[in-house]
Amino acid sequence: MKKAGNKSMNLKNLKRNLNINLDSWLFTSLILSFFLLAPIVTLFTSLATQNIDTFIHIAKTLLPEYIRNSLIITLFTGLFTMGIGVSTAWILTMYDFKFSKFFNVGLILPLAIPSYIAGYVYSGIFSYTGIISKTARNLFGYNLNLDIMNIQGVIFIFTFFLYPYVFIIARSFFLKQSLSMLESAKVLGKSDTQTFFLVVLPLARTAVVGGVTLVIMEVLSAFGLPSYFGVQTFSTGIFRTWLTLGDTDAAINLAIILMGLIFTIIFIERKSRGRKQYSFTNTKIRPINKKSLSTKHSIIAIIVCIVPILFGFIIPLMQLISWSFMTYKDVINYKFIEVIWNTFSIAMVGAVLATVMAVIISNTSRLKKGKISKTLSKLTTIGYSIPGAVIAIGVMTFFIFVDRKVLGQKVFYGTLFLMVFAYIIRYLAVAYNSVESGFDKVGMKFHEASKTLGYGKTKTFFKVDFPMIKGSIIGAVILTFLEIIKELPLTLILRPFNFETLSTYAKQYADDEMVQHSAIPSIVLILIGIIIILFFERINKKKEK
Amino acid sequence: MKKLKKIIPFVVLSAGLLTGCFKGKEDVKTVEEIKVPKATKELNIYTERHYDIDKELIAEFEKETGVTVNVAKAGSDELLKKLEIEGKDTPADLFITKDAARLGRAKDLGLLQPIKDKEILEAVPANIRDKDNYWTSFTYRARILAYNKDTTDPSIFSTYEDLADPKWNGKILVRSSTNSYNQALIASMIAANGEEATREWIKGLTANMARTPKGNDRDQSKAVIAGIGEVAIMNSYYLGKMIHSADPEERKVGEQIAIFFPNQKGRGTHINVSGMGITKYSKNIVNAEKFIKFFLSEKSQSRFTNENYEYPSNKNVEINGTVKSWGDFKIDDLTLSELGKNLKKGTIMADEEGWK
Repeated sequence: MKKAGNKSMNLKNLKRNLNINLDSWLFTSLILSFFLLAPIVTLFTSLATQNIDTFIHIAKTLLPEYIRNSLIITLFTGLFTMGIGVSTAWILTMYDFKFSKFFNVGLILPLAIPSYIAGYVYSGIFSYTGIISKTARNLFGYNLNLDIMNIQGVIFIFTFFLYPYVFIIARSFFLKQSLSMLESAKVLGKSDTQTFFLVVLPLARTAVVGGVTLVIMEVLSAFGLPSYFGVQTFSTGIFRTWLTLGDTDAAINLAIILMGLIFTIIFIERKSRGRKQYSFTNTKIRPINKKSLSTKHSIIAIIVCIVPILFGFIIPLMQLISWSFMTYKDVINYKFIEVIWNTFSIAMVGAVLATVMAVIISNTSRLKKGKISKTLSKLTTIGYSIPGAVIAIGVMTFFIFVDRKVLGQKVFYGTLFLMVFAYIIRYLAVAYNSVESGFDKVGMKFHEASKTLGYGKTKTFFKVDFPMIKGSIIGAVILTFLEIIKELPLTLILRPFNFETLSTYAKQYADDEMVQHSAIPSIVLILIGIIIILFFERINKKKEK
Repeated sequence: MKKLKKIIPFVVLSAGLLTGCFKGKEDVKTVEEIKVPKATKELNIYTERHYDIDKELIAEFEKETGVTVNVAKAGSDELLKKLEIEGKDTPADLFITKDAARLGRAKDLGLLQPIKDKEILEAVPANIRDKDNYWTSFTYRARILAYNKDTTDPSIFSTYEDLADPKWNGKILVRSSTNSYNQALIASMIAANGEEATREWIKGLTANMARTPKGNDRDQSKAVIAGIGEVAIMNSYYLGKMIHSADPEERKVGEQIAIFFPNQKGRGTHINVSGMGITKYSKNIVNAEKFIKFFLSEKSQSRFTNENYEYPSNKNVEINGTVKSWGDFKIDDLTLSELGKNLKKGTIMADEEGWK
């Protein structure tokens, strides 16, 4: 059949191949989307009895505060992360100075520290018995009343632990996009500062907005840090309404408002960047001739770069290490190895599966230029905007229903499957964005050529597309992995009996007001994060070459 | 044929995903394993407590009885929600929490069943367990007033109610009303004084606060020593923990703090319990009762008080020295079973009156 010389026969074959493949990709995509969306839909349709008393109470007494706090935190964290991320990325792109190689990696490291652990650490440092007050009191007899457990503290911590999102994207943009512009501006006699403000910043706008959007999404759905610091936000409000007040309806109403807010932000971001896509994985560069800096300027550059690393990484790590000396005897035992293994394996399984699904859905959406597949792909990434606890309860409710009504016996409920499933719903967006940007970069040329040469879609994918986007796929796995090991609320609710991860281990001690004891699990969690980040950097470097 | 071949990988993949092919890959008890083989050799616990002492005692119980104990830990509100959603399919046999109000709520939601073997409850005074035996405490802690023993004369203290008096303006330290211990305290005030009086009390108390509520219980006592306020409302148990902390600086604070038990001339000091109840749909009731008995045994009880500085519920057990040094006190025992009913009301009230 393949060797049919007749041209029209060939065309027919091709067409049939196309249809078949289209069906299998679309079919799988549809099934995946169905299962990813079902738990969320279950939740929203459980609003059978709309009892709005509690919601009215919340709207009157608490909602204004939730909105105000969430907006203040979002706004300032957005601005500060932008400032730090863009300035450090710019300096490292343009100039050569001492330690700049180290800074390139060091500036990403705060991503390895979950914001709630940063919260434990800084509240410990600033507390009455913390290092600062203690020193002032015992050495100088001076009583300091420091306080970080407030809204400024929340902004401080989010800023220093989330700015790498902006940094990574801005750096990759500067390296790639602005080079020719830079050179033109220089030829035309503009100074570096002028170039930055007149040429680079306007150009980088969309990329920076992309990074800041990621930061904002993290901030809005974060629960651990604001709740530990006693700052009421949307996320803590949903939790409180649902669980303490026991009012599901009101909580879901709040969740809907939050999702509306996040969708608005995403919408603005998409509009602002038009058709451009930016992501961590785009780094094809032509080497830039970096300027050497004078000693004076070098010092300024070093300070600008070292401050974020100091606050976002070195100080918290030092504090954790000093606590771990106080408590290692109580914490390290044979169970601890199991906890590490649990954390690693569940995150790996979750990250790989999320990436596989992202590839399937993203490829379908790329090949099938229709409304359905586009909408589906958007919908499946909805989980990133929903707080983890809400997803957890949706997943629970859905699988209990499946077990009871569809299968008639316990199959899924109470297993690790639920947890992995929930991770995928929550973080598919992370994997999806990375994979999608890979596909975008490759474009359709090679794919079409391959099809013309007689390969089907599936074969084309494995022989042509896959090798070309391999870097993006690995990037997707890594970023999703990093998110999952740091995840907390969902893990707490869905984990099966006797299942402990590093994050739940750290949290239990912090909840018991034994923050020193949470140091060891935190350090191990951070180490795994660092290894993963270094690996990620290496892959990016390889791609550049 | 060709068509089929192309679909196969996707079918396999989706089937794999949907049936949970990696289920059981980890060394974790899944629900099926728990249910099917030897139901009588298992006990499944949902607990909010994650102290090392609990872990050790559970291991001892396993050794003594040969029963395998599986533990799922989360916040009490999450666990209650789980029990509620799971209904008759719940794998849990025992629900353990640090809050009498949550135990009351579990009872009211129909999630618990009475403990039938009354003998095991004999050593627990009636005022620290449910009146219908749906739950029993195994330890308790008092919500006390903490002050700096060098600068404050305790004769100025009297009752919780008194703290709403304007003379305390700018002197009171207490954490957020989102904390379950404070919610239980408010619920007990409603039970004792009624809604209107409690609302006025919250208003007065909030107006007297030295700062916006923040931090945990230990932070309140540190703020007393730092001179931010004069009196902190906190749990007795944390003070014991601070006095024996791994951090020398915390020990210093702990030693400077003294304790006052409010309402001694009236209904007594509000306490909260760590308690447990058997779930309504428990499949291992016998083991659950065995476990309750074990936790209430003199051996376990003396470890709770000596290693975790809690008051033991078993009246025959000697209280730990540090804890005992704070003095005997009268317990407010009228309201413990009523806390669950007032929980939501009190929480909403605190919101409305601005106790953050």
